[in-house]
Amino acid sequence: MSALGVLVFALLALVAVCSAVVVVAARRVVASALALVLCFLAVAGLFILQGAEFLGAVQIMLYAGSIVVLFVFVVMLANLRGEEAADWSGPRAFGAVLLGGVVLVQLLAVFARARGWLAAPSSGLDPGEGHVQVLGKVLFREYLLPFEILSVVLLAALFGLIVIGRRK
Amino acid sequence: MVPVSWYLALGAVLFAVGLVGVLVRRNVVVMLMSIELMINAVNLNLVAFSNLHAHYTGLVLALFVIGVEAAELGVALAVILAWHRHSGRLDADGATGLRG
Repeated sequence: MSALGVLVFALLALVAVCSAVVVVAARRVVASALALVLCFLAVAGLFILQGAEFLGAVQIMLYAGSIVVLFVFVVMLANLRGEEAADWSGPRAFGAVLLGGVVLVQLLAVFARARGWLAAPSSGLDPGEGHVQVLGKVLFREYLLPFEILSVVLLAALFGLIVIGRRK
Repeated sequence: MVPVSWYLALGAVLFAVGLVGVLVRRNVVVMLMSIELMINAVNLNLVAFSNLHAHYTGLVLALFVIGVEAAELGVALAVILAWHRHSGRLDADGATGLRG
């Protein structure tokens, strides 16, 4: 493995984890939204680092662009300017952190057990004719029906949120 | 190439952080953001496995996850806004209107 790749991975992972913690722990909702942008950008960088450039671009456009704008819109419309402290001392927080820790340890244990299988040599996503071309072929040949169904789902969501968001 | 298991470990950490956020925070907007974090962690794992097997199905699945999630998020934020107009609050503890 190249040292540069490891360095970039470590940097992006650090940014992603730190900004995720800020999303959860920030007192102001706007600060959470901005930390969310940072986390999405770091994850987009990790996608690109893994050779999934198209997914990284989609991540930047859709998540860091429009989804966070939606969040900020809601924060502004709902007038969430004040600080809202989470209760980090009660039994609920204790239980939540305990559950999160258990889930984390379990996942890591599973990955540790599957280490030999995960260390199998990977050729990686490196097709000769370009990443987006192959992805498009797979998407529009093997997964054409799910793709069309997804467009219907998006249309239904559009109608649904127009109906829900309408003032009575 | 960075080993795949590192990506999986990072995904596990992000997922755990998001899980704690959903359980601890009571503001529905922040809860939704934490759910986004968890979904991102899952996407990261999907891409990592896609890379491991040199197969594009994981990428297509991640694309579908992103699409479905956009739909889910739009409806969720519309519901949050409608509920806020109706009741004037945004904490999940106040959402007891459907309790029998």
